[in-house]
Formats: sequence, structure tokens, C-alpha cells
Amino acid sequence: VVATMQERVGVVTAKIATIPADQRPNIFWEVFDEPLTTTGPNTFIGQLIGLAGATNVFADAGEDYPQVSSEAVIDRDPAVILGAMTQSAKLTPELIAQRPGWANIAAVRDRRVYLLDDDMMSRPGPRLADALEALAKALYPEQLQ
Amino acid sequence: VIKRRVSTLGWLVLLSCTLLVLLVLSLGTGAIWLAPERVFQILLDRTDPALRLADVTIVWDLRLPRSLLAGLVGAGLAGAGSAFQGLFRNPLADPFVIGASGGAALGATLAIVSSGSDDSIAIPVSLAAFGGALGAVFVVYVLAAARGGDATTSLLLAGATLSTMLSALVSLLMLLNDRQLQEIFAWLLGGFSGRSWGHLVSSSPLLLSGLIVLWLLSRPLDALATGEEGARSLGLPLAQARGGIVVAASLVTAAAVATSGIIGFVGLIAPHIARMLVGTGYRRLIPTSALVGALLLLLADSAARSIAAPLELPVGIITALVGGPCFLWLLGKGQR
Repeated sequence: VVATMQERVGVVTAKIATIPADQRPNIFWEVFDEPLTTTGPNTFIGQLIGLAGATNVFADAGEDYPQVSSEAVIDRDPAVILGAMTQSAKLTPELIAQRPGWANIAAVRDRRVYLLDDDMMSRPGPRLADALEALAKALYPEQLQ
Repeated sequence: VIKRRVSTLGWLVLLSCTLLVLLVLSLGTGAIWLAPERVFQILLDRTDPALRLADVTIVWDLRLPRSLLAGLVGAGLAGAGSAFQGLFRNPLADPFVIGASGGAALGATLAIVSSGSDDSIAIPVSLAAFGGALGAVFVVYVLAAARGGDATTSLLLAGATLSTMLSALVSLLMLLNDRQLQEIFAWLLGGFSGRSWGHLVSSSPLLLSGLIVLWLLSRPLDALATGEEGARSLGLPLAQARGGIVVAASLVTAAAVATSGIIGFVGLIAPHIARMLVGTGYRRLIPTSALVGALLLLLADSAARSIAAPLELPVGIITALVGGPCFLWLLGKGQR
């Protein structure tokens, strides 16, 4: 299992390595909506973001799961917004666009709000390779067919 | 008491000007700082291509409605607080003295808990809080009327008892629904995070008209503040006056709680500060309290969103932590 995992991770990271740095989006990962919570660089998701070659707009956060304000998210203007499908009813691209001011965020304007399967994203384990592949497909739809 | 070298009108003008300056500063304050001239630029022409879209969005869609709302809620809480202090002749009375906060908390908690289950109809949290606040005040009023005797004492006792019971219910609900614990807790601490123009439009009519009604009731308030005997001897219809004050102050409180959760302390201390400035007459006290309350809450909300940025603190924590010592200092100064 570990060998196939490593192989698949290797395939994805090798493809990502060919993507120039200026095409790698900065992203906002929404862990929770009220209070608005994201992830720092040292969590499972934070590391996954790094592995996928993207930049977390809150990579400077000291905590693992910092609460952030709407203002800060709008100020950092992420190109992609990602989240896990746990709060099914509350985290949809439509609802995110309705939050005050969020319609002007690049990710919302360009319709780049993606919800990924929670079982895959929130549990460190053998499905890490699945998670990375799903994340990479969301981040680089053109490069990774 | 600060000597009244400055007239009431002078204080009102001074407070209003301070409020305006603070409003502009608050629009620049938060997770990112914008200089006042940049704020003016954004306010004057939001389509100016030289401006950064994120800055325009932050000022127009987030900070402006939020700051106006903070000022308005502060004014409402302070006005209601001063009315209740007069009605109960009790310097410790605040807008929540007859159960509004407990009722609002229960309503909001029920709405949050039921929104978690998939098959229920979602009730907006603010509406549930509004209904809860008014419901609790109504129950307190009916209980007090049934007890008879000294009407104001009955109201105070019924209010305190019901508040305790309701907060026990809220604790129970929080214990049983730990998935929504954080959301409930954040609401209970109060704040303006995520509030926008819609909240301002829905709450300002009630807040403003309630304040005006309280101001129109300033003569009966003066009379009640000197004691029921005195009020009766002045030939005022006591029951109606008391009813009107309770209804107006409760509507204002409910509207405030519905928009921003339970923000303590502003409604308690703003009337005391106002009394130091303009004395005890309610004609002067209501508008002065309202302005002081607006100033305090605007200040507290600006602090709440900048102290720990990019994290936002619940504004209720700031009002109590910073307001408490300041208030004690002012009281000590006033006594000397």
C-alpha cells in the first residue's frame, strides 16, 4: 500500500514540479465558517497544500487552526477557495458569494471555489494519495488532465 | 460629578463630532490599516480605478455598515440602560435587567441547534433572538403583574429569576449539542463580525424609533426616577408610563441583541458617564447616553477587529475588559 501511495504521490508532485511558479495559485482553505477558521502550515491539510505546490494565504499563521476575519481573507484575495464538504448546507460556492464583500474575491469571481470529499481530506491515512490528486486537479485543471 | 461648565448642547455637539472622527478612523482600522485620506477617497468615489478593489470592498461592504451598526446598537443599549436605571431607581440596572438577554440567548441557541439538523425549517438566528428577548420580557411583565405589590420590585425579581432559568436552559442545550458549541458560544459573546447592510436596514428603524419614544417619555422617567410616590403626586398615569417605558426599552434591547448578540456593560456604564456630563434630567440624559454608548461600542468594535488581527475578538470581551477599569476610575474621580 505504501509503495503505491508513494508512487502516486510521486507522479502528482512530478507533474506539479513542471508548472511554473506564477501559475500556482494562492489559496484559502476554509475549515469552518462561523467563526471563520482556516489552517496553518503545519497541519495535515497545510502540508498537503505545500505538497500540491500552492501557497496558503494564511501560511504565516502561528496556530494550526487559526480563526481569521472576513477582512483578512478579502485583503489577501485568494485565487482559489477550498473546503471540505462537512458543513454541506453552509459551504457552497453560492453561499460563499453571498457573504458580505466576498463576491469580489478573485476565487469567487473566477468561480474557483472547490469542495473536496471530507473523508479524504480530513483523515491522514492511506487515502492521502487520493486527497493530493483531488487537490491537484482542483488547483491545476488544465495542466493535470 | 464633573462641573457643568459646558452646556448640554455643547456636550452633544462635542460628542457628535468625536463620533464622526471616530467613524472615519474606524473605517481605516482592522486586519489592514487604511489612512484617513484613503478612507475619504474610497468613500467619495468607490469606482476610482486607482483604488485597490479589496480596500473598496472592505470599507464599503464590511466596515461602513458594521461601524454604523456598532454605533447604533451602542446608542440603543445605552438609551435602554438609562431608561431602566431610572425606572428601577437602580444604578446597576442595564438593558438586560428584566430578562431580555436570557430570552435572546435561548432563542438564538435554539435556532443554531435546529439549523444543525437537516430536516428542520431554518429560522434566522437574529429573528429567534428578537422573539426570545421580547418573549422573556413579556413573561417577566406578566409574572410581576400577577404578584402585585411594589411593581418595580416585582419586575426586578421576576427578571432575575427568569434570566437564571433561561441561562440554565442555554447551558443544557450547549452541553447536549457540542457540535454547534463554538457557534453558540461565539454568538453569546456578542459581536459585529459578518454583519452587513441588511442587518443595518432591518434593525435601525426599531432602534431609532425606540430611542425617540424613550426620549418623549423623559418627563415620566424623571418622575419615576424620584420615586413612585413623587410620580403619583405629580398626577402622572403611572401604570401607562411604566408600561410605555418597558415596551420601548425592551424593543430597543431586543433589536440590539438580535443584531449583535449579548454585548454587556455598554448599557450599564454609558448612562453613568452621561450623567456625569449633563446631570440626571432625562431630556438631556437619553440623547447624551445614546451618543456615549455609540462612541464606546464603535471604539470597542474597532479594537476587537484590530488587536489580534487577522483574528477578530468578540466585542463583548473588550467592552467588559477595558470598560470595567475605565468605569471604576471614572467613578472614583466623580466621587472626589
